[in-house]
Amino acid sequence: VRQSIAIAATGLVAGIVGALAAGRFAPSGAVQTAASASPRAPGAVIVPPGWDHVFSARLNAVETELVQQRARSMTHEAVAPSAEIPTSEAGPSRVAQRAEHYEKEIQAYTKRLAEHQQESVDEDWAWEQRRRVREALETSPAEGPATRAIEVDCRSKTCLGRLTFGSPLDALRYLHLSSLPVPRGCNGLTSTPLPPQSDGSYDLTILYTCRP
Amino acid sequence: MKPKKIAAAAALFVTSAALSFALLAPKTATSGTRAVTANGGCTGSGQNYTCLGVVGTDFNTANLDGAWFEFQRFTANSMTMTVRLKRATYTGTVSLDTANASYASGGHGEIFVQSVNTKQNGWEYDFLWGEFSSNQTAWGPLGVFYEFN
Repeated sequence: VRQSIAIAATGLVAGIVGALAAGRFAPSGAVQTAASASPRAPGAVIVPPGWDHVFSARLNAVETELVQQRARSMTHEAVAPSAEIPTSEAGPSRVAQRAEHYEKEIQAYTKRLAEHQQESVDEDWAWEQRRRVREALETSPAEGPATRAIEVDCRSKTCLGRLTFGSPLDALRYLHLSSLPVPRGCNGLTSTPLPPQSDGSYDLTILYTCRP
Repeated sequence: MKPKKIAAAAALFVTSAALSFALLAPKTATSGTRAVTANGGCTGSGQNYTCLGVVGTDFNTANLDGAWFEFQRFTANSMTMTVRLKRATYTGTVSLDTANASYASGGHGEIFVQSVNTKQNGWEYDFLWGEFSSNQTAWGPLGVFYEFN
């Protein structure tokens, strides 16, 4: 009887130890509400990190001017530490995190484009599907920016559309259209807009998934 | 106590502790459904409706299985419905998965869209939503169930 009680007590104590150990690993604070993303209205344009260089240039000019003004004022009067310009600790890390993720997206998308290029070509399917994709892309939504040129390449499962727009911003506007066309015979798409080389003509690639 | 009994007791202790830990240790949510009702989370009229989706630390789009699009048809005429599961990342990538169905008469309709493109390189900072579009107007969305594993 004593042995049975000892075994039961051992199990009970072990259970409590395990539960306490589990409690130590519990996340503190409200985790669920920490980083929920708010839904954005379809059609809004998301500018990838690094694209808004015009805005960045203006911001840099303002910052430079501000620093110069501060330097000038410091030569005339003492500036208390409390007069420091407040900086957001979350700002830079968030920007860096966004840039890092964009880099990963570019790598993943480039890999998918390479996989498309390596696909074998099913001539019959590719010919018909190329026609369908071109037809869908040429029927541009009325509210969308005009395309200057369209190239389509279909293989055996996927098709690649290359659309030339007048500017990078036009390409982003097109990509965020609520009526973004999906060609007949395809059931999905992905596009990561690659960093533009200039503010002029821009090629947007869209990868269509059509067969499993 | 004999050494064998001590060893057995120790093994029992460790096993029990490990089991308690495994059962009680907090885990990241790994499966579930986020439901969005037409009344609370859908906008649109006539042929087209958009229903929002919610992602976050406990709903990373990498775990997105797909979405059930639920709707009611009020017409005796034939009707086609196209639904799109759409995602825009915080960094500018746009992806979507789509499915469609045709109906000869009225009644309840549901279409499942498998997540293929919309789960690639998933993240918690994504914008997710569902779109209905039909060639008829005599129908209404009930809502969307976003499912994740």
